[in-house]
Amino acid sequence: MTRRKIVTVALGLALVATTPAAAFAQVEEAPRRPAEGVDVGADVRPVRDLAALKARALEAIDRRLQRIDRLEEAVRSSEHVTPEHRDELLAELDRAAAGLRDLAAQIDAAETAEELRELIPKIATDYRIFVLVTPKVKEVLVADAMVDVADRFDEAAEKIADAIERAAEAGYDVSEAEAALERMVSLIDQAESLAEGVPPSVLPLTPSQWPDPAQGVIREAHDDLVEARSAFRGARQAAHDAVAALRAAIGDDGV
Amino acid sequence: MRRTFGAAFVALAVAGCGVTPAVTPAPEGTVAVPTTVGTSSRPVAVSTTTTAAGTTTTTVTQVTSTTVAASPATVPDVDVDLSELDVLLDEVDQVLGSIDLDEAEGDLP
Repeated sequence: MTRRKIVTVALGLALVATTPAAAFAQVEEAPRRPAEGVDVGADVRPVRDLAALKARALEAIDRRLQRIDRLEEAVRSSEHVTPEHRDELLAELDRAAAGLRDLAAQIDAAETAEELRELIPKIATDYRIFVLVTPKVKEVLVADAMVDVADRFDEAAEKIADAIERAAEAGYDVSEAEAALERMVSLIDQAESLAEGVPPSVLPLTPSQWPDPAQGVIREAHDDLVEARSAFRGARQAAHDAVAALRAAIGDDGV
Repeated sequence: MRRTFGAAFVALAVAGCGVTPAVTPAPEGTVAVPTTVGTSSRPVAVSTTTTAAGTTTTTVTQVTSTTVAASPATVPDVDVDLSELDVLLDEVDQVLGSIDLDEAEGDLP
């Protein structure tokens, strides 16, 4: 065995044995390669291991690029996202895709295990496609959709208010309908306020801010959106209650 | 339906019989029918008398003291379509439900 090959074998072993868990913070442990798979006595095995390592790294990058494609499609097809948020999200996704492609080229060109040991963790740490970018994009899309939904709820509330006003002018007792409408409007305001706060809080987050504070901000935004959805459901129920109360007040005359 | 009939009847009474009922014309040119707050009771009492000379007099009397300005024909329109709200909320639910905060970057070699 030549000295160069021995060095290569040693580097390969070092990579398998010492890839630090800390370098994959927030990353689930990948299935371990069997120690017996590295045979220091075989001339070709280390080269094969490096090639396999590269292939797996490139697959990991490809999965992220596919995710980015899906996210871009979701942003482009969203009927609710604001133009500003759409541009910002698409720009971020484009930058991430370009960076990952560049990283893939570096990994593909790497000749030593040392280089790979340095490059591979960047797939996660420099981009955070799954833990940060994905929920961030979806949260912005949901938040913008909710603001749109709030507008539609407002329109429905106006129609109900008109109906209540007509009934009141005719002398019907509309107090119950008015109370339900008031509930509806209050819940719409609450939901809209929660949703509006999400994009400004999550859009500035970067991979370097993971896990702290990005993870907490992402979770908090998610909680706000869940609460906003709950408020919308309450508003929808209040709308139904208002219309039902109005119909009951008018009775047969309303049929 | 009954209310519409009642309004038409009153309108006929006003237009055809030359009497002045206790009602106020609404802005739309229809007859505003007095009503009772919160009920659907008949709003007016109508009586017709014929003299020996053959003159017919129709009298429309307001039953309650509450007179409203709107035409009853416009009041029952309380139809507000809320189905669109359900569709929108379903859309929101789908995207929100697809957010997986437990996903990890766990596929690295």
